[in-house]
Amino acid sequence: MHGLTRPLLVSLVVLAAALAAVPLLNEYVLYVAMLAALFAILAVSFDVLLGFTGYLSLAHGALFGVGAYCCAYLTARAEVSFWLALPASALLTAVIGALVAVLAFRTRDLYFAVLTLGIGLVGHQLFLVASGITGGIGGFVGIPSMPEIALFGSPSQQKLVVALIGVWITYLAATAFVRSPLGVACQAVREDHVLAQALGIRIAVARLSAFVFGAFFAGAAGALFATFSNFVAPESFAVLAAGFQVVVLVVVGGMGTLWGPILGAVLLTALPESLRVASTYSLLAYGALLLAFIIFAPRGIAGFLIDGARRLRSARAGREPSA
Amino acid sequence: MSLLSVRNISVSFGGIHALSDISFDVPEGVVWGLIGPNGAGKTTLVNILSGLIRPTAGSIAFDGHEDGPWSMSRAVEIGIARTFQQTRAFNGLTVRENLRVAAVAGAGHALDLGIARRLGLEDSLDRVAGELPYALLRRLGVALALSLKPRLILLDEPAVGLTADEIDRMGALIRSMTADGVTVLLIEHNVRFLMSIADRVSVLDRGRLLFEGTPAECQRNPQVIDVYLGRGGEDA
Amino acid sequence: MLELLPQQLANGLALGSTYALVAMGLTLIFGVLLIPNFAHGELYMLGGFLTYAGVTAGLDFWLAAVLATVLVMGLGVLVDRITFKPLEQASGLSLMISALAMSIVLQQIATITWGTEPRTIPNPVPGILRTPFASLTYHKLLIIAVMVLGAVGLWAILNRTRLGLSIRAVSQNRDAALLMGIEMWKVRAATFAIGAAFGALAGALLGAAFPIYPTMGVIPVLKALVVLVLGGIGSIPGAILGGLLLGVAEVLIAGYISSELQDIGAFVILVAMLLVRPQGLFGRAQIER
Repeated sequence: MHGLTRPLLVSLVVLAAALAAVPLLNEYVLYVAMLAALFAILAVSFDVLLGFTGYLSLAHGALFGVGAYCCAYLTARAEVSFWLALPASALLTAVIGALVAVLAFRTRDLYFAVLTLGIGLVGHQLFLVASGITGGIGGFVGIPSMPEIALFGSPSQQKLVVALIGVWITYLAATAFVRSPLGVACQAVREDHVLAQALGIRIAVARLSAFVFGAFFAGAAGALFATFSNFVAPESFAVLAAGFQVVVLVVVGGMGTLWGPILGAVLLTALPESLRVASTYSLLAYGALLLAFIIFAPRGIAGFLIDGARRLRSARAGREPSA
Repeated sequence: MSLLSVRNISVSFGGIHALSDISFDVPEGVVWGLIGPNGAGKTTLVNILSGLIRPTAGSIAFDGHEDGPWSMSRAVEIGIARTFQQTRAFNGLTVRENLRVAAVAGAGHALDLGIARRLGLEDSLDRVAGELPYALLRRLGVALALSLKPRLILLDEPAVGLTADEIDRMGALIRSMTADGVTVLLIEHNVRFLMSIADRVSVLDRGRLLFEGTPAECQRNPQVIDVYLGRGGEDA
Repeated sequence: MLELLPQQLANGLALGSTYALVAMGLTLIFGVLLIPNFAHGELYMLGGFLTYAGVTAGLDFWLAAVLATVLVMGLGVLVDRITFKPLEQASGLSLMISALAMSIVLQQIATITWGTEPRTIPNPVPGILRTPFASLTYHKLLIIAVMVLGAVGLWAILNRTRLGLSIRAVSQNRDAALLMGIEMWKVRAATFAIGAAFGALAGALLGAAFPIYPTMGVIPVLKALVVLVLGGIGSIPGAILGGLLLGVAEVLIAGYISSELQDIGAFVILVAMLLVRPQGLFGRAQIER
């Protein structure tokens, strides 16, 4: 396959630039940037399923919740160290994701969306009902903060640094996944699943692995979210909250690219926060944006940028021979 | 010893017998033609051999594997590849990406651009499959199947809709496959094209095997002439 | 326990009639145009809210319900123009995302207009019909009656009018229908208007007994999709039978097993159905798996 060196180097440069900016930010911007980074992890993990495999799941928000509650429970009740709880939450979410996937992939197209919508609704219901574990409607209070990293900065700066590294790891893992034979198989499933089978591709394995990959990183994002905010409540994980939001972030950012969703997460988290728009209007704006992009620019912001870069390059190439 | 051995295959859809009791043996290295009027069951047979549908009864053996009928992935694994009558390609991907999907995700080996060269696709590698002209798209369909490095390739009407020049080119390509040790099962509506390149021919009519023999024998057989050629044969 | 059965069947039929009403509109649009109109639940919601608005403005309930239905029919056509028409050449995935977006937009418009506080309309038909076997509120009888009338009306439109013939032709074979000179835009508009009417009627009627709020359409549309699984996509009789079946099953689950399970009962039925008979859903199961 293509070497991973280039995405590794480019993403390292971007990460370094982002890290270098951390000391310059005030508390509020640190908080917004941290949220944007968590949503970027969620969006990249979701794009592996939506953009690369072609399945619209509305259960991703619930999986995000599974990771959050799992980490909350492990660190607050079982007093497990956060650094152990983080991978444990991601793994558990991946296992639950696998169960969901085995069920949901008995269907496709509309029925897949409907079934995952149902799973998302039931998941949200379970967070409300299982109050012994989740704290029910009142939420899970008193989740311990991430242990301080002695080397640098304030707690808020440390949170952002961890979140940014999380985005970087997710991006690299997703890049490696979509370029692996499994990831290539996923794209074949997206394009034409009958032809994919005729070419000997085991489509069940491919799409299951895409779903589990997405669930793992959704769980990790949830764990970070829980420990960063010290409190989680079911509303955050409703289908109409995180479940819908990731669809918007990915479509607006650019389905089928891995950096597009990061861009989408940053822009769509930072803009309403900085404009301080009321939340009712922000959900309306999300809906309207999603509608506008899927109709007029289905390749998202990434599509504009790719086309722009290509035009620039061809314009330059056109000039060079004469020069 | 034959490469492909089909025994008593029957299939019915909702009570209608699409194929009844089909048996034949394809030796290695030949171009085996399969003709028959519309609805005779030719594509159904290809679908069964490639694992897309399961027959109601019967068995298939291929290259020492006695466990047929099999799933699509198993069919590819043991060396059977197919094309589709209405060419299927990954329309949103480029030609290069299409070939990579087949090689890497399907067959599990590295991308071999030699196949693209052989099919005259080397200048179109970066074009999106959905935007290819019809003739190139049909060749891409064949290229995808060849990328699997099969021992048997099932071609479902590869010449349909092609110009005379393109048909000649397709014929030469099919002959060159056998030279490389690939056995060909060729379904065609275009009788003249088929007769010109097939080593042996089977005729299907309404789900039954009507005749098997050389192209010359086929063209003389009164039954075949009656049910098939007599109906104005190659006009399609 | 068993002596309650006739009563529970009656309750189940009333509940099932609302599912059938919502599902008929959804299955018509899906069956004819292959469009997954998630926003159908929001048309249902707007049927409720617009009736509420009419009643609050002093209109008679019946007049308000009719006006609301007519408005929502127009809105249904508009939803198609904005959400689906531009994506005629796009994939099913784009259609679903677009439908999801429209569904959120309509919910938020309702939230901004009316707030999230649940609203109620005074019941226009108070009272209970008592029989030796079962008692039913007049309101539930009304819903059953409207469902039956709606089904008969839809059958008449599809089978006894030129427009209905065009709609059926398009659902059988769109290309052939276009070749025969059928005007697609008329069929689209009519299909969306009729489908929306069923959603709006259901919303208006339900709003007379249950709270009206912006996200009230999510669960009914999910259940209507379960009904489609049960009854077969695009089949009107399937939508009615599936709806009634689901309603009865839910009431029986609540009555004999646990009332807490009633809400996820539909979902359990969906999952069970998919596990047992996934091929019942799209007919070409041998290609899947």
